[in-house]
Amino acid sequence: MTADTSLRIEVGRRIRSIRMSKGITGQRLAQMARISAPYLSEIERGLSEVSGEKLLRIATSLGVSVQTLLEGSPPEGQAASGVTIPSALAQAAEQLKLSYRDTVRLLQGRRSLVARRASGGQEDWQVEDWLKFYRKVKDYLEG
Amino acid sequence: MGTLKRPTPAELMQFDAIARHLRLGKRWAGPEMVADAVAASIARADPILAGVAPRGELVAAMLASHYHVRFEEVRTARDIDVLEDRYLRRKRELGFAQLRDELQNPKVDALLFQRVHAAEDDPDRWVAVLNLLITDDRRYWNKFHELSHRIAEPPQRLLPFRRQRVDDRNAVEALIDTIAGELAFHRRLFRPFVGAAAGGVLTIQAIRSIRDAFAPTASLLAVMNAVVALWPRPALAFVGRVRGRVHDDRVDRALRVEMQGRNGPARRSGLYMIPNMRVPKASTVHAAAQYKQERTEYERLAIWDTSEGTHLPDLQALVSATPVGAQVYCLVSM
Repeated sequence: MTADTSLRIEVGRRIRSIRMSKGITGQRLAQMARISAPYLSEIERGLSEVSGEKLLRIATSLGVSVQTLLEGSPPEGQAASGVTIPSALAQAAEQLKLSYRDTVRLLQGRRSLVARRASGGQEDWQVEDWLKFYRKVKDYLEG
Repeated sequence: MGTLKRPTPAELMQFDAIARHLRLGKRWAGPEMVADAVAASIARADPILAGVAPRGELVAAMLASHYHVRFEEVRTARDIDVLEDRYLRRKRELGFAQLRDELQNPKVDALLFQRVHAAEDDPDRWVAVLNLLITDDRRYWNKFHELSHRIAEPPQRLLPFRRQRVDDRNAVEALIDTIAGELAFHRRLFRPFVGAAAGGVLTIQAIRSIRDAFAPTASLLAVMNAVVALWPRPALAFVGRVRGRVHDDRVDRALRVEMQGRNGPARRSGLYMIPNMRVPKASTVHAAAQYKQERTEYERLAIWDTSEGTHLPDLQALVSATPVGAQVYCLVSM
């Protein structure tokens, strides 16, 4: 089993687990996330990849962060508010038809720049910035 | 120390993380915790620095090694090519694709990357890139700034993605700067150099000698501020810079005071400067700027006055000033 497949299965299990704990039917979640019920079922069983945008919609519908779906619940005492995929990245991922794995890798890459000492601030990245970043790194996304 | 800008909610989360990491408490208690945070950071650094020779660059090297930080210095476009090759192409660290755009911004001093594909004990698990394309001035200081981030903050997990915005308006950065100032001129190591010089007078030349002995790569201004803080007699440091000031609906451009630091003895003896006050033409500082020459002379501070007619106290002080680019670095001591 590849790391990708393993992650996909884990994410699917988490979605199903959170959905059921909240008493939401698959049909209802699919409606809320604007995807088809069969597709949601495939995602929950780890049979289909899901884009960053759709994962964001599922997470929002479930009232959790994308991080929670990707990593599981945050450790006790740690803020759960930390992570969501920025909407600009989600839009870029949708345009590029990126898998959530590659979307996350882009976000990891961007945020591996953990501190930036400058005399001026920095704007949040827009869709164009993410697209530009992707063009620079696409040859290195594997591995 | 002790005054911080009002933190934003995001910065408060960072402060809380610092408080927990340094074992000061579960929550950041406010400005009164600054001194504790600095002391705790120094306490973490001290065992690492046991036995180190008293040289600032060695202090930086030992801390960098302990905290798995590699410093990369960029002086030319070719250096950027090398780093892109080393980290982006060979190590698949996607973050380095941002390097070129970031460093071509002259406002960016330094970047700290946490490598995604590094092992726990890789010596370059963190890579601090210093932007020296324009000047080397902040090279020494920025090393300690980045190291202070590593000492005071918990390592970022791969996926809570808490990105720091780092600029002069950021309250966390102000705290990190305070810690960096203490580490860059670690008192236990640095004080003997100041003590040896304190038998004489405080001049720019004395500052240069201390810099050469302790940290040759430090900027003159950083050493000035560090020495003033530890000088046993009244002393202050400021930068003279030509700046405009609106006065009676007109902009009055003149060489003006930008305060850097004032030590405890200066506070107790009433030695001070008024921020943004005009440098009088009769002052040694003005002469240093006008003739582009280093000057050191005694002068009576009563010649310093404001447009409202306020004078500085009539103290006899030694004024030492040197032009640096469009600025003048100045020391006033008694």
